[in-house]
Amino acid sequence: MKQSAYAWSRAYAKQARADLMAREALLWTDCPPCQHLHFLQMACEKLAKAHRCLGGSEPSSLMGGHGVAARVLPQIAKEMLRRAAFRSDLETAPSALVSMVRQLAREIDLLAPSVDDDGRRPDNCEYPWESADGSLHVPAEHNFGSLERLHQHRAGATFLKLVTVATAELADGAYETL
Amino acid sequence: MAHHKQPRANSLNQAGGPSPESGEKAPFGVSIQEAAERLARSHYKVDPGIQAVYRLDGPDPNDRRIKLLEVNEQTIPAGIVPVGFPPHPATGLHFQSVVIEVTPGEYERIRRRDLKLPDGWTIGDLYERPISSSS
Repeated sequence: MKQSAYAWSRAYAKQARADLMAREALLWTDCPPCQHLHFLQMACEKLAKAHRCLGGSEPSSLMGGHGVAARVLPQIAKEMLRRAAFRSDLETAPSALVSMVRQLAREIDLLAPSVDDDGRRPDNCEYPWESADGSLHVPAEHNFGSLERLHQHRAGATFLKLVTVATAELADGAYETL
Repeated sequence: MAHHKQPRANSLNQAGGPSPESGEKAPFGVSIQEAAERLARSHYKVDPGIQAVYRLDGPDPNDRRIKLLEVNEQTIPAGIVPVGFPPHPATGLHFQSVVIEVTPGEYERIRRRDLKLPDGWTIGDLYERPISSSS
């Protein structure tokens, strides 16, 4: 029996939630930051794919693709803002949230080795790379800057909350009976 | 860049509900057309990168999803990536929605048919930007 888009979406979200749990577990260990960032990148990717399933994409075709969190996560932010405005009985207000989510999601997309901005951003959290000056970089030894401490600054914490809440909504199957 | 098309005449789909392009009231009092306009308006207001939001029309009269094409100068080129959302009745959204976000360059490619929308989907009305939101 062919499963519904909702079922596939929920399945992707459940796996995204597992990635977020792994990230959280690694965050407080001595593991190099590339490891917890890898799980965050995978979680964002699967959350994006969960929404692509709902958008009509063939689920089995989504397994290999990378780099669309920057297309999907801002849409999630917009939906969250719409809901918040409705609940507060306010007109939707201008917000910096969408732009912030777009920027962070793009940085997280770039953590995947196959997403490198046409060679300009070979840094990634999985495989070693050689930079333009000929030096060799190892993800386990690389400094990923503020991404390593995403949870410690306000925008990063907001981003993580959005990803976590959106993942839980789909993973918990809140929509399957609608 | 604006591409205007008049809404189609009201019609019922095979399931007896209002078709996506009809202005007919749904059981919960808001037509899909009105819901789509509200959704487009809320997106204009919170996303400063949006240049234009168009309705997308599909060939299936039973397709009761809101479908939007958003032209956004802040997004990255990534092709056609339909992003779906379930309805959220608790906050007044009673329809599923699908948003396709594209760069201005990708929009031009769609118009030139170099870049294909999902099968049978076409660009419909432009939703006007709310006066209070920046361009």
